[in-house]
Amino acid sequence: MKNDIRIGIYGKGGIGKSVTAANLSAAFSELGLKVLQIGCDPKSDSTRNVVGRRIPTVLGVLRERGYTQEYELDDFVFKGFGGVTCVEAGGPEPGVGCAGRGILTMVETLEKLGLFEEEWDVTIYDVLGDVVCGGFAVPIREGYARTIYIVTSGEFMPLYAANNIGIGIARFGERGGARLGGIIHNARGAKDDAGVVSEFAERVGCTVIGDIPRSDLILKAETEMKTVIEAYPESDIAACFMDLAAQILENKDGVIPRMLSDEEIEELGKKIAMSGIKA
Amino acid sequence: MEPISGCKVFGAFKAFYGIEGVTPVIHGPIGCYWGTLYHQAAQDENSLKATCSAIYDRDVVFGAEDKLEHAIDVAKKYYNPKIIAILGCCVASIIGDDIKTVRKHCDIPSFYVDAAGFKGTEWEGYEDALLEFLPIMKDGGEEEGKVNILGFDTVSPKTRADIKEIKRLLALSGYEVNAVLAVDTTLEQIERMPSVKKNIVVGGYGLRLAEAMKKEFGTPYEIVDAPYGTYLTKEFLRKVTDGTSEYEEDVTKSLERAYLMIQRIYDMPVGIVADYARATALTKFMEIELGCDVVVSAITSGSPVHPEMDADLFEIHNQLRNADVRSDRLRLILGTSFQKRIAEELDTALIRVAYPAHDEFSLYDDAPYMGYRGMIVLVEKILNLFLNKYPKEDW
Repeated sequence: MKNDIRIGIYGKGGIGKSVTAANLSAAFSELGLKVLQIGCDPKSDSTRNVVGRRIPTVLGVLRERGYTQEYELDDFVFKGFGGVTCVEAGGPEPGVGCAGRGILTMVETLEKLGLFEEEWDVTIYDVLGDVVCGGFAVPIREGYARTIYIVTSGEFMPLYAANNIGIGIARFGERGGARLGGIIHNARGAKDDAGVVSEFAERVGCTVIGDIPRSDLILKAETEMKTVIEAYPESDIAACFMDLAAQILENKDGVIPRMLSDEEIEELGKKIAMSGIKA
Repeated sequence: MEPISGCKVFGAFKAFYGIEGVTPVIHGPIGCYWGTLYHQAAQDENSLKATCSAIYDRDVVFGAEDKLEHAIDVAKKYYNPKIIAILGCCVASIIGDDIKTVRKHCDIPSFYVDAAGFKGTEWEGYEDALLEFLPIMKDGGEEEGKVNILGFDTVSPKTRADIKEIKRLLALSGYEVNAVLAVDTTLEQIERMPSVKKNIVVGGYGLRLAEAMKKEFGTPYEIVDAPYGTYLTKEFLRKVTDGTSEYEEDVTKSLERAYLMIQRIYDMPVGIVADYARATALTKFMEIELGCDVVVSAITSGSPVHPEMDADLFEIHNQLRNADVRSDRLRLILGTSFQKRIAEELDTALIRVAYPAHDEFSLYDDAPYMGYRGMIVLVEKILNLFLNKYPKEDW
């Protein structure tokens, strides 16, 4: 019996979504699961640390070889650490074209080639910073991802972005789309307040499913184009990702979140600012 | 919801297409290109002189600026234009192609209208496109007795004949027409546009350019009704010439030959469906001069003087149906090609007087609907239609 867990990782740009997604993929593979990771960000570095290099992107291949050519899955999917299957959507350079449409094209292309018909234990979508348009909401909307995890630190802007993403999830959740699985707290420094993240999670109706402490090993592994699971399997931080993977496997039900209003989120911002001054 | 107002790109295309030396380049998917050309076809097959960037999925994702550059190169190669007119369609507008930079790198002067369908309707495309002419105009001092005519296009039925008639009547009144926007006009005539006595804005179309020219060059303008029938033609000439000419032609000599027949159309229920300029003027003409009972006067497209008008095709057709029940019987629709089916349903005669008229040619340029001659042509057409359409009735 396959697990068929489909998750989406969202969060503010630079908050550590790709690090989280890649380490989760590696962790799931260590648990003996068949994993598919799809990077949905034009900068296409989601799977870099799983495969050990940047892989050709779906949109890059289509652009180079033509949209009307015959393709096989092998043109777009690449194997990484522990047999994790990796796909990068790719997209236009910053400032041109429509990256959101690119996500739709990627999904349509892979669907036609039957990628989603395969039995995956875990599918992870690692999606660009914010739900900026309909294209980036496809993983939430079309049933590709069933549970969304939002990565955030205890700073105001990542929480603000998390709230916006949650609004998108709530909208689609009511129409039968993905649910919010929980918040992944990615601590960014000594001052990062886990309490604020917990409070945020509680107020929107979910839990903090994982706390990832700041670790130099993550950066070190990144320079080697590896996940910490691969490079430092015995480390505490690797154990932390293993725990997170186990939590996600357990966490079957998501919620339709009740996101904060503008006033409420501003209030939270003030609180964070005041605690920063005290510290 | 079945809007009858055309897309913004159609309006912009109409405005540019009528200018010699200007080649439109449609920056959008092929549907925009085909749709635009289709509506021009019956009135002017030459309108196939345009190119299209043909945006596909790849271009949506990665940007379509290179495709636009290619479409411009093709236009230059095949049509040898002096100026390129870039019409940005919905997709180009949504993905935010940097058309400014494409224009800068282009070795030919260009006009540009963001003609995305979601940014406005047809008449707004026409107005925006005409405004593009402003920078090429030169202020050269007033030339006596010259005027510009604004508000026409090459795709409305009878346009060339109507323009010919207007030019004839103005010549007989001592006036010369410099530029007609946008029908068979040269770029040189557009350059000289500020040198006229005034701009004549027919039915309000072209008003935004007229206002801009007044601000920039001090060129006065006058809004006039489209000259259908003797009364409005006389009014037209009086306004254009500031009352110095009230040139008249006696149309009764021709109409007298069908005097008894004409009497029979008094009080006859008529429906009018046309753009703002034509609908308002034709309603006056049919009511005041022919004594008809205009039971429906529907406007298909707003204008700068009445921008809020946004008609629905089904709603207009329901009005025509209701009028047919309410009135004696709807005998005639002065409309567009879109009224073909409702005319058939109500067994009513249809004369295509306004755009779109893609199933009827207007080839003879001496048979207008406007002006004194136009009155005779229109009445003749109405009478002959009746005699042939209702043979069993007592005419």
